[in-house]
Amino acid sequence: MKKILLLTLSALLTIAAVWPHERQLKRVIRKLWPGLEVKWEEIEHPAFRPASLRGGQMPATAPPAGKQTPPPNTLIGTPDRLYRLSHADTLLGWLLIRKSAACHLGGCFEGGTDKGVAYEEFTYAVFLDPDRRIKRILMLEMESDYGYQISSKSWLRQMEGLRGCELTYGQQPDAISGATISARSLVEDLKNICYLLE
Amino acid sequence: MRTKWIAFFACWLGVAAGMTAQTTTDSTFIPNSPFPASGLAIGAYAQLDYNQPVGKSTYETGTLDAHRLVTTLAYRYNARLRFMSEIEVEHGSEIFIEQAWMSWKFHEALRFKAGVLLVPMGIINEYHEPPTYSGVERPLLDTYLVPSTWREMGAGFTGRLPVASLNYQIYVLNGFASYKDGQGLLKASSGLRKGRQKAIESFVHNPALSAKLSYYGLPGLEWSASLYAGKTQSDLFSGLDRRDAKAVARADSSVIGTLMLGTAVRFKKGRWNLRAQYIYARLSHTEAYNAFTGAELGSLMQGYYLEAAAEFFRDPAKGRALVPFVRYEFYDTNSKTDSHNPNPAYKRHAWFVGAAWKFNTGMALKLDYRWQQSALDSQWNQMLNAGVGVWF
Repeated sequence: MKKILLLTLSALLTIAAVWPHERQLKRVIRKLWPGLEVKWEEIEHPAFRPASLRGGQMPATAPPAGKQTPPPNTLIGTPDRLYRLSHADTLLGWLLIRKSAACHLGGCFEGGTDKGVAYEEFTYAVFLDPDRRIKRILMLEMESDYGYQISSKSWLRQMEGLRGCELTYGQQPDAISGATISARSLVEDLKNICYLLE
Repeated sequence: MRTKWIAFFACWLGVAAGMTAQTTTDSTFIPNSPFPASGLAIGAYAQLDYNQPVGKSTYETGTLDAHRLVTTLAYRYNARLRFMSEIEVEHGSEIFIEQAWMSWKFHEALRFKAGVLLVPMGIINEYHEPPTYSGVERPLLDTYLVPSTWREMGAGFTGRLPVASLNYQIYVLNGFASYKDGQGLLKASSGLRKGRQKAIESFVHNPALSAKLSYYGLPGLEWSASLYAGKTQSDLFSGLDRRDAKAVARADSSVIGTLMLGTAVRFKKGRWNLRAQYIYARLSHTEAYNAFTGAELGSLMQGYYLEAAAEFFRDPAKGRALVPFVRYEFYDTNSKTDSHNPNPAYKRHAWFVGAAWKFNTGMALKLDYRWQQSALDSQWNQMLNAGVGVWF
């Protein structure tokens, strides 16, 4: 019994070890645009943090020292990675990798991240096509023990083909019980991205 | 043989270290955090009850009980390291530690956890905040078969495999105590409940293994399978001379083996909320144990429940709704017996009908009615319950 469990554990570790984020994203790109050689180009956009400020420096709009909780969904001033994806000279779309704050340490419930309560982060990647429609959303890192249901592919798929501005939590996509805060945070984020990229 | 295990662990540590290194280099690809690194979190949940037995020919006194008030005290050191604790006041005066663990994240698929952990068996033991379940009290299955809140000290690993929509948990924990201070602790009426040690100066000589796998790939569905295996602890072993065959035999008869398998499913679609759970618990050496302690433990305990709830007047974004529900439960702690004929008093079932008004995801007012009966009762035992469920 113990041997089987230890073998399973090492199998899981191996799977995890060969799945770094970059490889995961490249695999998705191959699926979305099969057969094309896609060029990645990191770009700056006025709505997002300029590349030059990366590397541990706090953004200009960081909250004053001592205050624990910045508004979690402000795009301006937050560090993100924005990539322009192209093939030959045709624009294929964009890839945005973002951190968002959600689910309180104790679980996913009312209380929110704006009431002086500690929050947790999750990092996700969203692929957009040239007219800002969501092609794919991927969860890359989730700190929280709660709210993991937002990484369910079938739930994320509900948002594909729509623009962030068209999303309404509860209808498109469905509500998730047990992950309300994370799910709403993600939907809010996608909405903000849509408005800011217009 | 031992060198093989040492080599295995060395390899594993190497892989784990490699993975941590890899995720660090990977982090040039992941944006830096815009948020300050640390955070203190304080929260609570509470279950306040009014239970009123209803007797046709007798007067019955009701109970008003501040059943649970649990405060969460947690600290996020950084994105990888956190500490979570829950301190509970039960029935207004008993203080317990419900959770107290640290977790270090190597990788999305691997976190190390150590401390007072919740045993991952069934739905309620892990997800027991009152506004999240139907009914004033926790299900009977999660009281008698899964002795909720079931928590012991131990360590283990947990992780997520989003590519397969799977979460796993695997821990080595302290097991139940079956004999202490001259008394057997396990009985057919309460199952394994009185054997919980709850990290209160608990003693151990037979650690147990606990594991759970849960799948959330289909929209609205969460299915889990859990396992718990281990022998119980007895204080007769403390300082016992290994050569004293008679004393060792005596101590052996105060210990049983437990193997619990559980499966549970939660399905949420639109306004519907369905739950089902089945628990199978095999107890070994019960014949010797019953002879030694005078208990009537079965060699098999099993039970299940089926529940349907629906939300009306709902606002999904806030979690506001009126939620009526119905649940059927069956649990038998003498499903099979080795030492006596199964006692029909322990074959029980119950119906629950009720509703909750949820202001939001963190506050609910509940009302329900319970009909419960054992195979010996000629009539249903009826009880009205009302309560407040809180979570923030």
